[in-house]
Amino acid sequence: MRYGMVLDLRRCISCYACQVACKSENATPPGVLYAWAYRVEQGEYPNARQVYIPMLCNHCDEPSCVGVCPTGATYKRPEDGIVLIDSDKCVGCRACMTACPYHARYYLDQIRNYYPGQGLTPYEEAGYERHNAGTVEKCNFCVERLERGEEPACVANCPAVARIFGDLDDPDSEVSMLVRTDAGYQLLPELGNDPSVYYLPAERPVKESR
Amino acid sequence: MNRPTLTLYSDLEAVYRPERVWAEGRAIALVLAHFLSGAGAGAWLLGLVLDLRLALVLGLVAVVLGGIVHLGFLGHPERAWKMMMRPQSSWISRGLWSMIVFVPTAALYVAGAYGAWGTSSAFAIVMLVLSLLGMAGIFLYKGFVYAVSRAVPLWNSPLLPVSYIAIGVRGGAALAFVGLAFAFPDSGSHSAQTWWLAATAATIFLFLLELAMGRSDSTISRSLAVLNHGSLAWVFFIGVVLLGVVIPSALVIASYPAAIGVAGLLVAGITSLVGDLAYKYCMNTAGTYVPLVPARAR
Repeated sequence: MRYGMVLDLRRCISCYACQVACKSENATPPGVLYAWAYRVEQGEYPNARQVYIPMLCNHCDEPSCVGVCPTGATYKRPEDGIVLIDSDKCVGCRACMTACPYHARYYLDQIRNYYPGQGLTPYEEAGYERHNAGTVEKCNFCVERLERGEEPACVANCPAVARIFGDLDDPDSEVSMLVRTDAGYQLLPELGNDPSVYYLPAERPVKESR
Repeated sequence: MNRPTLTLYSDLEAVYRPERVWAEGRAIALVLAHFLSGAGAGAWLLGLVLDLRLALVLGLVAVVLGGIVHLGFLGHPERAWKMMMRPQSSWISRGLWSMIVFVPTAALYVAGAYGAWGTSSAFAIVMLVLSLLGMAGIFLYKGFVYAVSRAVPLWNSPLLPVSYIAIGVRGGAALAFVGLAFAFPDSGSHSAQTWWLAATAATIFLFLLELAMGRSDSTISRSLAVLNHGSLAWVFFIGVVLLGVVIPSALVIASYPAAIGVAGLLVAGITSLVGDLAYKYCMNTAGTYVPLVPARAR
């Protein structure tokens, strides 16, 4: 099995619900965004427009972050291809961050709160227990939700159904079929990481809705 | 509690996103550590070649200091031993192993050189060979730590490890100048100067070759623009070019026809070392990630 995600740029309405759902699910401190949107301007006036490209860890099949990690803290789960970080092993050398071309990783030098001078809120106190200062963090495809049989938070909360999650190894899965039939593409394929996150182009013929 | 984070929100929308994690904040410790260990390995090599015991000591001290300073960069220095776990894939891990081999064997060899058991006994020769292996690892690992990063084209060059070896030898020669200034101020030998000139010429050649090879890459051009007329220009031109190349070159070349004395050697050595440190800082800070979306799609 190889978990993967398809992001349909035609369906994405740039509402940032994925980003908010991710922050809420993972209680990430300020400045840490496991899911974020890369805004690109395409074309020139009068045919200019903005395209939002939702970003997250690409859970690459050939992850460059795994090889450079000197402690083995970053590893790929053989059973489903999810790339994870064992924060008890991470020494905070940040080699994985320089190796990742998708800017998916964050170094948490210290735990910050959202309301300066007011201490941690009860939500932050509870949520920050899963974060370790001095280590690197990133999206884990909401592995705890997956183990409960739920979809990642960004997928479950996308109001436009622009995010589809599934098994890329299964040729009959929705993600595999979308990649095949709707010209799914990876970001920076030339780097050889073979990401498990695919994008469907914004400019393509409209077919019957899913 | 709330000081600026290393992840700037403006970076999230930048086409050319600067590499910050090995360039800003405590990353100065990483730059200093790589500079010290490289110069230390170079001083060890030249100390052996030129039979200069003080250079051996300076090299060993520089490598040890480099290792200690490196700990200051880590988020969890108390876990540093865990970096030994992945030598099969990680150059950082290989670097740590190289230091672990180098430091004790070099220390025992230096102890022999200062009279404990000499340098020609079987034990001393084994220590020498092991220290040379460690030195080679220290020379190699730093360049490869950067060169394996395909996300940062300025670093992702096969020339970078070679270039960092040349800088290490240059730094070693500069440390030897300092040692010579104190130990043999009236020495008529120019061996260290010759090594310095050769290593400097190699460094400049490799840097220019990297520029020539990367000039068609838009991300590398962006990095070079930062060095040439961007925020790093003053560090590059004053630190690297003036202090690192022009001043020591003038002094070293002048030392062939006429003695430049203790002060001349010290100035040449120290300015060269400052230049090397500035170069490593510039290379780390000018690193830029490859754009997420190719230019034709923007």
